[in-house]
Amino acid sequence: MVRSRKTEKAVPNSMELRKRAGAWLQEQRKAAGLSQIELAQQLGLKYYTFISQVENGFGRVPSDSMEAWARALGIAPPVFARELLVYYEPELHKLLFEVKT
Amino acid sequence: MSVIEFPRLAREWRPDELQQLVSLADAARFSWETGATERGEPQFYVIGPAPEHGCVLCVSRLAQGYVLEDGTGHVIGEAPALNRVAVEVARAAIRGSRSFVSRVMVAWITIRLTVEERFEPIFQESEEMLARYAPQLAAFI
Repeated sequence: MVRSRKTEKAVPNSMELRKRAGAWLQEQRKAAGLSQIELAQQLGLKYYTFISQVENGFGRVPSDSMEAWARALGIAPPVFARELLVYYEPELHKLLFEVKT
Repeated sequence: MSVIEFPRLAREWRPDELQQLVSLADAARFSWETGATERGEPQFYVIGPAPEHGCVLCVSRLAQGYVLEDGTGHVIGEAPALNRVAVEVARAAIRGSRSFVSRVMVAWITIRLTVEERFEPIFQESEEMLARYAPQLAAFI
């Protein structure tokens, strides 16, 4: 659970979208039956704190480790990347998948 | 690689820890938020500038100490005490190629801690001397 105390108001868009991405990732991790520690182990991370950072909506899954995250969560990498693009780069996602040529 | 798992401790930041972290973030004009891991370990997120407002530094307190990571999961410092973390992080930032914001933040933290460590004892000593010699000085006036 996130307890927030902000010193200034953050822009809702990017932050809100990252939080939604984090919630989705947490859902997927739980569906895969993994704890944050177990996911971190599968990703070869020293600590599991980054998993929490991402799930709480403050960090992003780095592009270079998206495939590893996807495989650890049992999701096809293209599906995983496309879903995260909705949150991380919504304009790019719209251009690639929603705008008709 | 095996993930380091620690026994559980208090779920909240202690007021002294939070005060130190908040004052650092405030002075650097970064906003901040707190959160926790699944196991309840407290995390302190330093939020970067607009438009992204992404996490530039994340401080987590685990049973054995503090872990500092950047917004991409790189561990940039780990130490048993908060001030030692800043020193370790500064070393890492100088050696590595972390983001500009992280480096600025780290440099600032290190400068602040250095100033506090060096000057607080001097101020304390001055106060002690004043208390000791003030009555004698007053006698001369």
